[in-house]
Amino acid sequence: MDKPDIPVITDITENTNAVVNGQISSEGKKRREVHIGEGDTPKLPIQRAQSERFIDIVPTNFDYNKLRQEYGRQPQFEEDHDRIHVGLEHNDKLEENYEEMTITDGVDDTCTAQRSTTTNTDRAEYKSLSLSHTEGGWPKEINVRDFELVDRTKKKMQKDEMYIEAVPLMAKEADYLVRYNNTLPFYNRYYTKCNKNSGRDTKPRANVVSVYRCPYRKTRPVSKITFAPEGCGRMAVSYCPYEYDPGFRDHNCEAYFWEVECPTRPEGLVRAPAQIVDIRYHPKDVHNICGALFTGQVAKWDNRVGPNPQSISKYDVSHEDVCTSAMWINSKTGYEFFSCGSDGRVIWWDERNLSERLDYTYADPLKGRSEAEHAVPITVLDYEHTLPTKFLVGSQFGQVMVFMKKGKTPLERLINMYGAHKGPVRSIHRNPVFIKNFMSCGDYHLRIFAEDCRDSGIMWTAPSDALYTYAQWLTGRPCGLVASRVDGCLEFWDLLIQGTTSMLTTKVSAHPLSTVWPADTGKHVAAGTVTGDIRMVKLCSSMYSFGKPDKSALAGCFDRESRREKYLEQRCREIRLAKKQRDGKQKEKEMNETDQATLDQQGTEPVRIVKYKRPEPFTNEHLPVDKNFFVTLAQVKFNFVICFCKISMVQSSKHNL
Amino acid sequence: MLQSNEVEEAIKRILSHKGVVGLVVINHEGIPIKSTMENALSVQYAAQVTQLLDKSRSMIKELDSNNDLTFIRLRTKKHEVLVCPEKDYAMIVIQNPTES
Repeated sequence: MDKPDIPVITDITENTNAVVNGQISSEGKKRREVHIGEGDTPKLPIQRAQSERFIDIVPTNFDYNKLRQEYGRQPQFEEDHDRIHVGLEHNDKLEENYEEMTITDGVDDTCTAQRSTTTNTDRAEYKSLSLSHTEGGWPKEINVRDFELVDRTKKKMQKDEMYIEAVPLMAKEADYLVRYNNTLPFYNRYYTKCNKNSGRDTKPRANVVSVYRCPYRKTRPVSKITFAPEGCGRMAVSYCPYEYDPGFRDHNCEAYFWEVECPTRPEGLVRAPAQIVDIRYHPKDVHNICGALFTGQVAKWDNRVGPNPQSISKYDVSHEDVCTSAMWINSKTGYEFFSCGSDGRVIWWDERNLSERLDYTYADPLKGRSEAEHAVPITVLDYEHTLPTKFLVGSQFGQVMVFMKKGKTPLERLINMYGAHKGPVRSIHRNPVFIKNFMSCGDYHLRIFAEDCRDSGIMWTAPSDALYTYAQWLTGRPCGLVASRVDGCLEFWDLLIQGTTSMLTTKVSAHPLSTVWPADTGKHVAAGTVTGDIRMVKLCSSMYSFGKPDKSALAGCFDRESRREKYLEQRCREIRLAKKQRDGKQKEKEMNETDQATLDQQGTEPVRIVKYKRPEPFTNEHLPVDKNFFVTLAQVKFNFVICFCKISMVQSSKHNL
Repeated sequence: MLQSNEVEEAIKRILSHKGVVGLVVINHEGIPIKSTMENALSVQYAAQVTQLLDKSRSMIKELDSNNDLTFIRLRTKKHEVLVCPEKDYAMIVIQNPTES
């Protein structure tokens, strides 16, 4: 088969045209092939386009093969004369179905339709490099380091005629300017004192400034963000799925350290044999890190040494279920930390020897009893270094418990228990300034408690639109709270500005937020999502400034609320007492009445549920029996009934969830 | 020589004014020929100012070819930098202007 001549060409477009137009003919049954410039080098060296050169190097051969008989029958077009296929006649009767509208509503817009949206540019990755300045401009012969040579050259240059001419002229100009500056204050700062009162009228704003994306492709929710102590500008982030995932082993068991200034990649990481649920810096040493693992163990790392843990606790002494939190404590040695887990245990460890526990206790909601069977799974732990004797525990069932660290027996440890929430307590924190007050967050509410008020919280928020996942006091402003929600919003509450509603609710991410933590500077808040991103939100100045009058106002606020609560408690107690006395008198007559007085969890009026009233027993008043006998029996029965229902209440609350 | 005296005198006069911190005379290559400050600093100043001079001169010439740069005054937080270009040389004066 003869190859068609491909002409020598200078233009790439010509080449392709020749090929396409060329060789497809409908005659014969021979196979026709179409070639595109197969390695035919032109005879003359000519200026060729870049793409042409490429075709030369890489032979591109497209063979379109199709037999002529496969093309099918050629379409035959023929002229068709005018023919009416369908005819629709005018139907007057249909006009009755329609009515002429004389008045219509129309909308007119005189401006162009516009929509305002915000977009985000592509993330720019920054890398900091340094530039090396070297001295240049010298003539080739001169070695810059040789001072003498340099000096001599300089002196030679100073003898140059041009130089001598130019300098006085320049000097004259410079002189004028210098004297000008000295006489006239050209640039002056006017109105410096006027702009100081910006006022709080401006709306509070919070904007996302940077996003720290997890470098690992498989996304896991952020479980904890903490900032390094002493304001280093570093944060530690741990990633952990909420529940056991069958794809467990594929998950990356690492926690990353991010430098706040550099959102493109983490600064370092630590690794563990299991997912890290919680990670904390030592308050005095940035390099000492403790962490809680998904398997119930605790681990300790040293940042400087390497990513692998220095020591991990053994299985038999660790928690039997997920270890949900681990924190450093104030201790003489500075080596102690404690952890809590879903098995209901709180264990104290010494970091030097993680194969044995220093001490442990059970989170048993009933006071005076500390037993493993009754322990409730703990979700959060809080410890304040300024108050080392007590710590707070939040449980899976919504109970908030205040524990004393050292009790003579484990039974004496629990100081108080509040039935705060109807779901797991997501976070619990003491106010950084007023440590007697603490805040807990769970289900749809945020509650604030005072230690003196033992029955319930002093303040709580109205139910919000979405579940809360975490909440914390703002570091810059102790009367402010930030809470993260499942719909991706951050809620900011301020007790002094607006007590009833949230001060600001901003949508920070399209995905649910799993945790939030304010930065140690107070100006930013880091929010972690379930996809593993951390968004750094910048706060406006009204959210991190806290002055002296604010402090006393906050103290007054807490004081007022706790007093109100105390009065309510007192009143409740009085009512209950009165009722008891009344009941006691009633009991004398109706011994067989079974009443279950159940106390509402918030400590309000007891609700009496009368179950079944047996008929009055036959009592003969004339029977010579000691009156006291009847009274004591009734009292004993009453007390027994009260105890019985208290126990059954605890049991039932456990079974409910 | 009388001429070199002139040069010295001119420079001395500038230095005598209130607030003047230093002075550097550079050539078109950016080499500090005469300087009252230490070498490293004057080299830095020379390098930066040469670039600034080139950039500003080219800008002015581009906008209007009949125009030319007379001087540059750079007011910073700490002091003011004056640059007077002339033919192939430039004089950089650093001054702390007095604020009344």
